[in-house]
Amino acid sequence: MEKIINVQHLSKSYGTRNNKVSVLNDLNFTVEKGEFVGIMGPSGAGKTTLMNILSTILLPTMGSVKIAGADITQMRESRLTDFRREKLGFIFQDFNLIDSLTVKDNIILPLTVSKLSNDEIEERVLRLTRILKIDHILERYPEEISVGQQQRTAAARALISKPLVLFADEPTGSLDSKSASEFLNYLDEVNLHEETTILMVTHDPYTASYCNRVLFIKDGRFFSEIVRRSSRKDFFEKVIDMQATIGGGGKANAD
Amino acid sequence: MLIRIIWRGFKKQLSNYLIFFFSLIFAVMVYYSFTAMTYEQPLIRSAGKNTQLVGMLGFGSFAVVLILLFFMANTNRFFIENRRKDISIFHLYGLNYYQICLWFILEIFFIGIFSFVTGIGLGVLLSKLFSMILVKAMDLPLQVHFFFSTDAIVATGLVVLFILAVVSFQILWLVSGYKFSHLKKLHLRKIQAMKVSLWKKILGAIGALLLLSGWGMAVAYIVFARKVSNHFGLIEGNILLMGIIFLLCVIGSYLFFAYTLRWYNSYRPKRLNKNLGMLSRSEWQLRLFSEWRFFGSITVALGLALAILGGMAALVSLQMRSVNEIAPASLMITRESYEKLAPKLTSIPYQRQSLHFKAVPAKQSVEISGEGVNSQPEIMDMVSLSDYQAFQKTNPTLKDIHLKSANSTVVLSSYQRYLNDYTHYSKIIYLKERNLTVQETHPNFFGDTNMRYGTGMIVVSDALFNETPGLVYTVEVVDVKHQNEEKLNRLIRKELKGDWDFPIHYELAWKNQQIIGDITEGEGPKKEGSTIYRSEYTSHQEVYRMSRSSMGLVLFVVTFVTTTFIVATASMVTLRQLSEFKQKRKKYALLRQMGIPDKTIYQEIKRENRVVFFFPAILALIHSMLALSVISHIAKNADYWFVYLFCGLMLVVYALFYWVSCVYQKKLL
Repeated sequence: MEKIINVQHLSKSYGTRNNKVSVLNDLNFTVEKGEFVGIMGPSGAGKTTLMNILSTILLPTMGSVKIAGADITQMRESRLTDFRREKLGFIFQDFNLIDSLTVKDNIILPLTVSKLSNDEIEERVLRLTRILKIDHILERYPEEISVGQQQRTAAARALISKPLVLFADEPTGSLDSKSASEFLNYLDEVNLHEETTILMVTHDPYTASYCNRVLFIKDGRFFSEIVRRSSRKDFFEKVIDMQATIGGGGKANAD
Repeated sequence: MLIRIIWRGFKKQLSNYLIFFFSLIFAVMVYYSFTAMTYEQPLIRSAGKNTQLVGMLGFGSFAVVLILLFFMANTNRFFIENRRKDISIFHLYGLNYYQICLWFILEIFFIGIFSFVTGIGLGVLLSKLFSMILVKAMDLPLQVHFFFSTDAIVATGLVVLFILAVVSFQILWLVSGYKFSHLKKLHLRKIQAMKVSLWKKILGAIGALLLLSGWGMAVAYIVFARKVSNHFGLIEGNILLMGIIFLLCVIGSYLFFAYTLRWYNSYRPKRLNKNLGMLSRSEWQLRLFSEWRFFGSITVALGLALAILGGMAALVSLQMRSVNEIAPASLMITRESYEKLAPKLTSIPYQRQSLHFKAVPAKQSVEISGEGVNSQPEIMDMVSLSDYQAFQKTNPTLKDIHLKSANSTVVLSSYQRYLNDYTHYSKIIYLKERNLTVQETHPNFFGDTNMRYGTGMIVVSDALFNETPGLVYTVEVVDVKHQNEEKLNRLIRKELKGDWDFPIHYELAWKNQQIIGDITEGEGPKKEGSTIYRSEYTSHQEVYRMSRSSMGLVLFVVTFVTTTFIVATASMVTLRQLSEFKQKRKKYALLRQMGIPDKTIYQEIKRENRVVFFFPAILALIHSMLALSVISHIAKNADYWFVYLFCGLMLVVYALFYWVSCVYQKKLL
């Protein structure tokens, strides 16, 4: 399989020489095309920092990150912008929809700077919203629809540019359990039908159980990895076990 | 403790309120300078009694206070609206209503005192400049010295305190009206803002209609004015019509921003799919929804300010022009006084010319729209063509005249300036023995009408002048070189008293198509008929100085008030743009994360600023231009370059503030 994400010796530290805080420490992993990977770890493990580096918002202190063969740590800002727009998609915990735009306008917002024809845009919107079952609320405003629908709108916006990788940062964090499982099912479907690689940060084992593979990091280092080989329920149990091992960042586990 | 926290919060916000300070300081500075000038004795003395220097400056300061009040109240309201979240946090902390109010009041007091101190400082430094400009504008022979007035500082301080007190009451009122449920309401507002229902569309259409009809009436003002005047009378009709146009434009402007523009914005063509077009559309829509009142007020007030300025400028240019009309030569003097003055004039080289007038009974019907026809016989002054042509040599403003026949005449009218479009002179002038046909009507540049008897003046052929019986009198025209004017005027002040003398008496009537009655010298019996005197002399320098100083004063005051106003409104808009921007930053961060290039984002920022700054400005410009066209019907031949200058200035100031907003936002990004 083609390696879509290749992270080598990734380190990130903040602060000055005397007061250095190391967030990520020599992290190595790869993600293959079409995978649905979860990243888990206790608070302060460096999940969000990792996500920000992968999504080109932060620069690493050391190491290389290759997405689809291109090293994003070596790119100039203008190329990065294009790269982000064309190759990557993002979903956030609090959706980040623009309230004054309709659902449809929110979805096509990233395409407004592309050179796609209007027909092509329409077609993509229709196809995606059908999969995500939001095709009947295209003319509504974000505040008029449910949170689940809002997150699906955000997903549609992330997917409209047909990204190679979809980054999701705690996508179910603001959803109730019913909307969360619905949303994850849709995400699963997108992963299957569109062959989009998905990288999802979460601390919720149930959410993580939808992935094919879950990476665990702790204190900025790779801790372990579990791969889903059987039913989702079994996988869920495994994730829970691993979470217990890792300790959830509680006081008892602190160094 | 509370005060310390407030002080800290204030220090933090200081940089954000720069624009706010800027305009406050500017207003305080202008106010101080105006007030200081009213205490500046040398200036007042040299301006003389004839010009209402203190009154006019007082009016200017009053206008500045009004602008300041408007500005402070508006900005304060905006700040509090924007800090609803703060208020709920304060509530959460357990601060009570008065403590919250105290917080805001102290903050506004810090702002007020800071700008007061800076404004006074700048005012003291710049008041000399202000005085110099005024002296230049009034053309006073005066050296300006540095002037410092404690009275003016106290007065300015009191005004600032007064404004702060008013704003404090506003805070008490605004915070008391605040409830937690507002947050919820605020949430749903966005959807309300985006949706344009049928009745809103109807109101939008009405708004556009009102604006267009107001503008249409202004363009075709004279047609409407004649009709309305015939119905209601000249003055009433015009005031009514202007009032209607004004109302149409005011209501139209508000409706335009509240509904018409929003209706237009709700239309979403495919081209908006490119370059974030739909985003700027929706942002503009949101702004319109929450701030249509503000945009409407700014538009109306700016338009009004420019229109008032236009009216003033028209008045000034007419007044200055009338200087040449009243005093076309250095000195015009009765022959009798000239003979007394002549021996003393030998030291000054001068040119002299005699103008012979003949006061004759005559009748010319004048129809004024709405005021009916005036066809009573009156006294007219006759002048012969040869005298006219001789005078023309030294007075080039007089137009060439060629009389076509023996009975032709040219009327010189001093009513050519105002209400020209409303008056209609008949083509026939009845004299006692004959009728004259009016060939043309020209403006009257024959000098002060007070030096003559007649209300009208006609130019006739020499033969006709000699044949017609009437009362002959002579006015001497004395012209000296510019450098000798001062000397001449000193002599005039010493020798002449400026008395009214040489009365004539007349009693005229129109019977059986004939003028009946006579003109006699002397006062005559008091009971019947009328007696007219004429004045002794008119000096060009005196007339010029008087007009120049009063008009210079008017222009000076109006200029600074208008500038203050333009700056205040522009900074209000800027303030809104900048403080809104902090909330919008998240949106731009999102756009960046989506991979929208910075260039596109900057374009978007510029677009959002552009509509906010220039829509009201351009609408106000259209309003004021049309108001000027209305004024120009009443005061013909006035110069409006001054107003156009100010329209340009407004655009420049707005462009400057627009640029500052864009740069600042780009920096914040």
